[in-house]
Amino acid sequence: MSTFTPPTFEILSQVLEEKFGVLREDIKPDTVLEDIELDSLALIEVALTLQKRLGFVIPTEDLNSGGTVSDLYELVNSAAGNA
Amino acid sequence: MKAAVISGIGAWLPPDLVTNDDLAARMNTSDEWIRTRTGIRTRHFVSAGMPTSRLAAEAGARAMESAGTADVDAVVLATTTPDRPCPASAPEVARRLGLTGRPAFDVSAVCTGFLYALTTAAGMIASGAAEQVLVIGAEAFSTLIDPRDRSCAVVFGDGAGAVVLRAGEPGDPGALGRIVLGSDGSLADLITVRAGGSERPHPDADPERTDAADRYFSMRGREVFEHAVARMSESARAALAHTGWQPGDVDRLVGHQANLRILRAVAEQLDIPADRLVIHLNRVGNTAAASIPLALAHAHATGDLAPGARVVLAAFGGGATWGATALTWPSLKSV
Repeated sequence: MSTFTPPTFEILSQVLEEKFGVLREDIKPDTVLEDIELDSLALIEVALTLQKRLGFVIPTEDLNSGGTVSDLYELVNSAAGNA
Repeated sequence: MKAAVISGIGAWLPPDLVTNDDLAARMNTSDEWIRTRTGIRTRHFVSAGMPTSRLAAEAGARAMESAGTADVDAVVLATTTPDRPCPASAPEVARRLGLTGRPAFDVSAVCTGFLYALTTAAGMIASGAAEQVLVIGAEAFSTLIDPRDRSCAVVFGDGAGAVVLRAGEPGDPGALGRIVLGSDGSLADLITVRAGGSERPHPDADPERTDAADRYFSMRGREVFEHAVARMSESARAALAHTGWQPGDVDRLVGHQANLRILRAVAEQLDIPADRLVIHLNRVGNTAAASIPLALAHAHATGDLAPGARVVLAAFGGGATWGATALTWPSLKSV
């Protein structure tokens, strides 16, 4: 067992801020993704950027703009666990 | 073996300019919605009855003038929207250009069509069958669009771009590198006009069996986005590997102009800075097979593409099809 936890939430927040101009104070676990203008294509862009930075594949079919920041974070984390 | 070298370039857009506000007056959309989701501000549409062969001939004539030639050995037309389902439109394009008698044929690979047509023409040159070939990408794509389908109606536009390829040496400026192509027929439903071919009759011919909407173009945007980014990036990497260039060596990335967000994602995947993207879709929308030669012609005319620039071309389209190549931009006469 590795005790190393990748700083996934920090990287996710960075990507949302840099690429999509989402304000940090809006990146809360219960924020609904479409409320911060992340439509289905934007979520694919987020997934592609994260894939490139983190080095593992994120299953985009499970992305849904009706979900929350927390759902997105969980998805990335479970992808990290499977990598 | 002779290399295929770009010796002339030309483009033509039908005069009818349509802004996002014009579209918003016709359907439930807005300038802001279209711009933020696609990057498109204007596009050109053919007037009723203006055929693809007209657009193709206008662009072809300009490319031949740029190349300083009044004759070519063959005409290859990439189009998704031929004048008629049968015959091909290239013979009519050749006739309009005063080239009656020359071999002329269409190539169909939707938005990758221009790269497929370049490959065919380069093969004719390599085999010695031709010294000069006119290669045109032309589309009256608006004729495929359901006027009620706002997701597609705001994206596509009409136009034509063309190059003349001449027989030359592999090291010449403008010599096309290896053209990397691919296809996957299991993705046919992603980008399609369902009816009007041998599989499903045109709805007018058989209203019982065919939905009226099936005569029009449809696209599964989200899946197209993912496949386009993956395949354009992969094929561009493969094309770069053939030249020996690193991504950082690329001065201009000319991707199929489908969507600004796809282009940016491809650049990111390739580690090519976004400011090296040639962007033309803001002016003309997605013009399918015409998009790469139109973008090249515009960038050439504005000086965005200078002689000596290392250029990568990459496309993804219906089929699915995809491809890429690399070349050093030559010094060409502007027309």
